[in-house]
Amino acid sequence: MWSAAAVLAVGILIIVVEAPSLKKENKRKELWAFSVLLFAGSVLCIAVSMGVRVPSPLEGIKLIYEPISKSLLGK
Amino acid sequence: MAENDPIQAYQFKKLAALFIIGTSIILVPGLLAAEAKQDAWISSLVGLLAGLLLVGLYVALGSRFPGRTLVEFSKEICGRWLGTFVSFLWFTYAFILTSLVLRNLGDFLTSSMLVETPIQAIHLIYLSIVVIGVYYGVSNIARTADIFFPLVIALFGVFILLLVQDLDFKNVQPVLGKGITPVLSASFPFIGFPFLELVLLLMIFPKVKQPKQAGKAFLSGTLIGGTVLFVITLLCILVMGAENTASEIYSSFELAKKIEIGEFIQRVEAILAGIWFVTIFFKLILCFYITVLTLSQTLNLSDYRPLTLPMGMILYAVSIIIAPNLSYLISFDTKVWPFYALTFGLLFPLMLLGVAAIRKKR
Repeated sequence: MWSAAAVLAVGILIIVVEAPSLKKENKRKELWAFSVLLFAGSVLCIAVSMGVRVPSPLEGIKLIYEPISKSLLGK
Repeated sequence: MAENDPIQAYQFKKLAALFIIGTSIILVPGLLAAEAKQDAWISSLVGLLAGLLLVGLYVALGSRFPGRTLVEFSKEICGRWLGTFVSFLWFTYAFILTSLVLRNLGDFLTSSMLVETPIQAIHLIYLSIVVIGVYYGVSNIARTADIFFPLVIALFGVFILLLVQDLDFKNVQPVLGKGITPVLSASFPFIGFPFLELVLLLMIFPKVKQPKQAGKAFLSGTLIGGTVLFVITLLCILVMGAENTASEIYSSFELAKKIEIGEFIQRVEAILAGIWFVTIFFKLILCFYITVLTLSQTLNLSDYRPLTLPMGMILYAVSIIIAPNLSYLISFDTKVWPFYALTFGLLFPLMLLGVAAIRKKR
């Protein structure tokens, strides 16, 4: 629970540091990208800190490349 | 601001060399010796040669579009929609690489030096430094390389000198005892890691102030980095023998433990681990910089900096979930990564170069 709170605190800190200048300069696209990434980052960090099993991105790469690797290297 | 500051050709050379040495210096001797045994040093030469050819290809591609990064000319070659898709693929490649590098560092430290420290703590602290560095821009990274590169080379020189008395040339015999096949098959993953990753440096390539010398700097940087890896592989084989090198995951670290002078200077590996820290730092910071830069250019943003901090959070989480344990990573590195890297490091550049030539863009 504490770790989730810590992640949220870090997230708010990042907003405080970055968001005002983006908003002032009216960079809407940057603000969108920033918000989406920050949301994804916070969710992932909370999931990791609570021990939720998140599938590794390497699994997707393995799915595509392992058949090629097996047929070429033969192991 | 710092973003538009150019870097010098000689700085780019140092960055390329540090990028290659990066995490490879701790992992490569073991990986090579597992397959090629006492001929691992020949495999590393084969890898270096292939690496130089690859860099020749990248330089050809990069100098065709002066002043443009990998993402920018991918978009120009492929058009708007396909170009954005290809750029996004470059981003995923850079991102996966960054998380793997961070995880390699964490695994190395938790299994060899800081055994009781949780891996999360190491990742958090190391990543914080890297995020700050990326925030300051590439020319600052380059100037940091100016300071640390001589240190790396000096420590590496000391490393070699301290081991000279332990060299045993019986360890490399018989040369090519099992023919050339295991040598070549061992060099294959070595080409994927680190040489096929160099394509990402095309994101920094156009920032070099002297475009004419940039290609030469790229090639000589590759040569320096590859030579360091060759020397460390040769040292591992000569001092510890093929079997011991192959059975250790971090064989060059084990090599550093062997240093002993007159039963007086012993266990100096912590000092020599300084090389590892510095080179891994540069590989990680360059990878991370390239990750945020590819993403911001894919989305046509004016500045990469707002993405740095949130990306750091994502990277921290992904570096933990990316692999359940070390053996998963090692098998991924040797069996899947070379093919994955081949797609991005060879197939894509060739295709981009081909399409650009057909469409006669410049």
